[in-house]
Amino acid sequence: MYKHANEALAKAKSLKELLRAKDELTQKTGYYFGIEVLGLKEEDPIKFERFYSEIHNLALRARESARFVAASPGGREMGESLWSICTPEGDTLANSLGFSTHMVAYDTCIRFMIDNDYEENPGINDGDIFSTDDGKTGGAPHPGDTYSYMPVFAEGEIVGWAVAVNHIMEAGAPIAGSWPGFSVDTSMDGLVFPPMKVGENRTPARWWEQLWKSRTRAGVFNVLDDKMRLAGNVIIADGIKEIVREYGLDYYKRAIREVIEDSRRAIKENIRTSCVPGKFDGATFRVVKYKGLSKLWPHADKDFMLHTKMTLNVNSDATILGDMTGTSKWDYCAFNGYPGGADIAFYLPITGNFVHNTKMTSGLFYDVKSYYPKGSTYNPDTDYAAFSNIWAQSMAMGALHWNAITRSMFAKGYLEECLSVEGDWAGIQGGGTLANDQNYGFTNFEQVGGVAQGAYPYRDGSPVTWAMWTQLTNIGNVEEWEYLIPPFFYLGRRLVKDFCGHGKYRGGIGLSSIHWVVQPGKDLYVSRGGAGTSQTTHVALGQAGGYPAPNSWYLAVRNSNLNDKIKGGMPYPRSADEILDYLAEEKITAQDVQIFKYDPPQLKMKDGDVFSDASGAGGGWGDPLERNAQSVIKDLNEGWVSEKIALTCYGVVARKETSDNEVRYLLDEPATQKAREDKRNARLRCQSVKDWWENERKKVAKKELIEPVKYMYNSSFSTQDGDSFKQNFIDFWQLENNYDLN
Amino acid sequence: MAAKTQNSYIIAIDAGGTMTDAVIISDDGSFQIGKYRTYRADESESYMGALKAVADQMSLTTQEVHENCEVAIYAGTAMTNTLITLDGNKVGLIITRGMEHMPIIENGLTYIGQSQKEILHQQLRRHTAPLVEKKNIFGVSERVTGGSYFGDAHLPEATVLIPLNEKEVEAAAEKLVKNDVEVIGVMFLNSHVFPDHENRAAEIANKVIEKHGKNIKVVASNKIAPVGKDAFRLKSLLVQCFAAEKARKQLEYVELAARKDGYQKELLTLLSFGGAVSIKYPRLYESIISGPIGGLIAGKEIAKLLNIDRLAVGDIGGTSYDVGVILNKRIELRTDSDFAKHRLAMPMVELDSMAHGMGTEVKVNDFGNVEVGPESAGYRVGVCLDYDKLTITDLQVALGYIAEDSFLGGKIILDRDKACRELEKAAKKIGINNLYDGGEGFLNIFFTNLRQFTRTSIESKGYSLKDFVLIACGGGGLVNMHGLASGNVFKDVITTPFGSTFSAFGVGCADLVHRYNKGVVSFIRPGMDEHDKADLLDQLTREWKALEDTAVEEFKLEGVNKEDIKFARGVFMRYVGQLESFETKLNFEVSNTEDLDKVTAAFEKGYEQKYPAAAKFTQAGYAITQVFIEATGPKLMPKIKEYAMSSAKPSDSSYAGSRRVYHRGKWTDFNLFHLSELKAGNVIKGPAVIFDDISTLVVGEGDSINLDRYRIIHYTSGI
Repeated sequence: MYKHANEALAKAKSLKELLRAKDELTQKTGYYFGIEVLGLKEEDPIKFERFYSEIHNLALRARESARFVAASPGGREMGESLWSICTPEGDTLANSLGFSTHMVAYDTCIRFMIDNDYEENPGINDGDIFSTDDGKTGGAPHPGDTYSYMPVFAEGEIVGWAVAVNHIMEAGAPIAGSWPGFSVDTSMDGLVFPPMKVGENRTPARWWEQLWKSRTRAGVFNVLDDKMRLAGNVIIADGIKEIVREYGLDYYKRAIREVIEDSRRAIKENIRTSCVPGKFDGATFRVVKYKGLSKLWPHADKDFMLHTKMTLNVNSDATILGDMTGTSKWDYCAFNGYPGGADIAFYLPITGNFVHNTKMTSGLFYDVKSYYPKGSTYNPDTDYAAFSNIWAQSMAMGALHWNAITRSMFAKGYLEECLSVEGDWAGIQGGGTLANDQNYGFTNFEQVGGVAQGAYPYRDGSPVTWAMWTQLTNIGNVEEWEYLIPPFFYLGRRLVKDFCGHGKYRGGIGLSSIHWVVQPGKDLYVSRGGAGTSQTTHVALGQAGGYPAPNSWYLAVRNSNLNDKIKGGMPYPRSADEILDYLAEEKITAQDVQIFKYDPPQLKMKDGDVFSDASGAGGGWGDPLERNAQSVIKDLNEGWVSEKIALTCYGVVARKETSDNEVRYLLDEPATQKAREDKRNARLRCQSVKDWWENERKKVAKKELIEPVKYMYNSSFSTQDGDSFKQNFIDFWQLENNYDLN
Repeated sequence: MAAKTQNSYIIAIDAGGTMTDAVIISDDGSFQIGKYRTYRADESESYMGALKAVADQMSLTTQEVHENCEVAIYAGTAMTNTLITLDGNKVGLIITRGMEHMPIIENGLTYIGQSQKEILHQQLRRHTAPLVEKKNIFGVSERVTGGSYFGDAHLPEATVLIPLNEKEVEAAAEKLVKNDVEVIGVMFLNSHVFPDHENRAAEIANKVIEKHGKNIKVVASNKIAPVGKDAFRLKSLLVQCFAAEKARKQLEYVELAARKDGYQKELLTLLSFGGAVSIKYPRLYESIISGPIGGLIAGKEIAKLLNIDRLAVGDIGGTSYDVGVILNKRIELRTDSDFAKHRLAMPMVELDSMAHGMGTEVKVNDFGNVEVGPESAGYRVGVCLDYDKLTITDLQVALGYIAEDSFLGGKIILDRDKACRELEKAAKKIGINNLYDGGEGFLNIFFTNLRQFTRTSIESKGYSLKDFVLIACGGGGLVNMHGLASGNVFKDVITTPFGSTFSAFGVGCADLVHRYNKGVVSFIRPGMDEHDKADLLDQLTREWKALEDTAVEEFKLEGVNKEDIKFARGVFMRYVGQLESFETKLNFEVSNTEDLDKVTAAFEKGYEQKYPAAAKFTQAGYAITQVFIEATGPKLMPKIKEYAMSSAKPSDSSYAGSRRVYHRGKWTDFNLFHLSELKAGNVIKGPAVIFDDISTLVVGEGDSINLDRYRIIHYTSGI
């Protein structure tokens, strides 16, 4: 069609032509938009940097100004928002602070609008506001993430898009909250809408505000968040016009594409210098417990497992392909998603490892690619699959990717960059009716805001320090969460003893909060948003011999005598583990105690009930028997590990000294040496891998697998690339070629 | 200046990390400037040293200055250093049961103070070291409500859910005394709306301390930062306990040294919101940042003098560029503030900082992209003197803007060749063969970043750049002024002959002002009835009055009488549902229920200035989250002198020869002028360099400066 970018930019008559030109030229040449020579950069590198500085500052400025309009802590100061500047065809030029990989979605959404002739109907004009939260057409990872797009015009033509996204408080599904669980198909995902024009002349339509108010349980919050996104987009749209005036339209159009090609090359070079090429395998599993919950939808009334399989190919030409062949087929559950949304998780390790010394643009999408087999969890071959909690499932996938990159970088000799990554999180959500009939819905993002680091090859991870999926770590203030979610009061927010992956260096310790229900009024229902995986081993399966982190878990204690005991002066329990201790020691009694290692269904809560979560632990690195024994003693004295774990896991024997009712631990060196020696000898007596494989093989050959596991493998065999995974399975277990699991 | 003692001097000291700047202001408004090394171990030595440097120029002894001194204000670094070197007090903490790990997890805020590049590199995150040891943290049972978004539809604020367990408090205090802590903090959830539990716990702890005959200070969070957001209130409390109480001792040494030398008044220090207070002030942690604040206060004086409603202060130091704005001759405040990787809850001037200063590193990365900062040479200068990487100063030296033999009055000789060699390497990396072209290009990126940052800072507050006068100041303010001014994007760009010690001058200009705030949970809902309005009015009036009473008490410490104090009132408010409140100053009486409409109108006016009309949400109603007052006491203020206007042509004595500078793509002869010889009314056309021992002001080709009747320098850019 066009020979080079400049010709396309001069002659293309529509966005559609421009997009085709970009795709073709990129495909044909291997350079973004066919830009083989960075003409503007070479001509005047200083001007080029100055230009980008102005673009980048504009994105930063939009956030710093607009976020204060927000209703949700997620948008305002936690990392759950983002403002960006895009090219007319949907590639990202610059981002504000925030959850930056959301920029993957822009390509999906803008491409959808162009492909579906939005230029003609409803028209794309100066001052228009478009919005979407759909996975399939808009690239949203889940319905709680809502995007606003404003086309930017200069000198009469569209020169880009101002885009904003944030995680809202409530999505309007049957299950209250912003990750509606238990959706059977997308009709239960809540208020989901494809890219739509929702306003003109920089003003949202009246029906738009009403829609949020009548179709979600947090209308006021959601309207304010919408206003926040708009405020930033207006700043960007005005700023771009000015930059075009200063640099000229022609320079602007060429430079924005060169910037992307320039950063593409930088990222490729980063991959080349920091990774050892190879194939890095990973797998993770989720238990889906829907049996008994979906009586009205018999096709969803089942317990089963989901499989996520990733083979990460780090190639010697410094390209990366994440191949998800072997991943389960989509199902009647909330954990499916669509490629745009899944990519938001897939690209996390790329921004964390390869972007920090260059410009964060769409340049990162061209040499690092994902492959989701058609029909799989991340790429359903239907329009009706639910995607309300893909975030839970895709974080596990993102963590597989990150750990693969970690292994590749560790092989090259990096230490500071390498850590055990779990991708575990939790979000409490729900809804209710107060005594005065006031309805409301809510999400508490606390344990999405920050989690523990896993261990590094040279140090322990630390608690509530980072999150793979957000750069602005922040779990929010207790006083703010209580302000927003009236019947919940915190009895504690603390780290849980032993709640980490152990190793030569241990992971950071996970967090637990207790939400105590006080005077909920007429009704209160609570569920949780999900986690990295559930009820199975975590993603970083023990780096270099360390233990993986323990999984998230939840505890509901209802119909108890807690309130009476508190009234009687008993020091109250402070975390999930402490409640279990109180119950075991009969300090409190309860008729209804439930522990969930998977998504709990909506639970009705009454005055005096408690709901407690424990999540976000980090995995270990290296053999725990190699841990400095004094570090274990220090952990004992600080209360981070128990005597039991010190002995059974680390082989450390501690002597106790008590003075003034205070216990102090000291190292018993000879006894520790002996305990560690015994443990090493015991390892020599354990089953060999060969024996284990032979025993397991017999079971596999005889199909002696439990039903959910059988279901899972059959599901993995039935996607578009299922056959190749099945062959892989047959080869590994050395089975007959006509083996089947039915 | 002739030797003569006067009736009143103002001593203003700005102690930076490496240098202590001093200004002595005489009552005719004239002033002298001096510098001395900062001695961290004993700041009284640098205080006296800097003072002597100035007194010498005035042919006075420090004793003569002290004996005739009206007020001495000292903005020190003690607290900063305590936090950085972690040698603060041994702190004990009594906290709401269940929240004992808060100081360790610090809400996960591990990115505070990082640039976007650093933030993206998230696996390198670390927590700050806790300011209290885990073994000295004790939880006690108690729980109180803070009020909710739904107002009275759910439990109102200050409802006790679990009464304070006094026995637990007593046991905790006993242990802390036994553990030999030096100060005890008390921090309970929602104490900003219900301080009783904290105050009672403090009382119990004090009894235990008294019983043991110990001298341990007990500080409650509601006395330090009575505002919502527990993590930040706790940080404020811990900084107060760990660093401020310790820093107070350093300030007392300084005061003692001054007293021994004849000073008879209270030593004052500077708060982060710009007020000067006695070093006895209870919430001393509020003085954590004071250097750049001095610049803003000085800016305010210039705004008053020249009647400027929109002034931005751009302070270019060694490692950072700080931008603050003065609107309608007032310094703007923000409610939470970041310092040394901690996020605090205190009123602090709106000040944005970027890692761009004279010592900022300039490099070309492996991808051929030019990077300016964020790394810097710290207190060092550059390859031209004592550092191994190219800095902004190196560029200025290589291009000839800064003379190699006039740095700090020629006391230090710089190695220009070395700077050129390093610059050449960097330029070649991006294919620029002429090192001077490279240097100018790099400098242009630096200038662009400075301008863009200034712009972000101003526009994110909702204002237009073209309405603003920018004042360039700080150690790098004058030499980079031509870069800031290029493009004429500001209404005017100005500086003063003392621009490089602008902050110290500002310290001398500080008002004697205290600020008090208190968290509240109140609503102005649509259709609210008269009765509810009257209740709200009562509550607001009561809260303001209580704060004013506290102000009167605390001013007594400084010897200020009630009738000399001036009060101003205000609130922080937002639309119901929002989480961020906006400061709303009330320059009118709120005495009847109709005035509440004026309050909401004042809020919306501020909001509209910042956001598009569609971002308003009037129908949601309003929430008031804080009330505040400002109390101002009387203090002698310096005056900037007015001069008779001379001719445009500078005197012959000001001319000091010429120097070749690589400027706008070619070597150009720059005329040199002595700064001290320039007079009101003089106009200097570029290319020119104007200098004294501590400043170099560059006037580019085609640019010009003129000195107004206050000798304030106005810059006009030709490009």
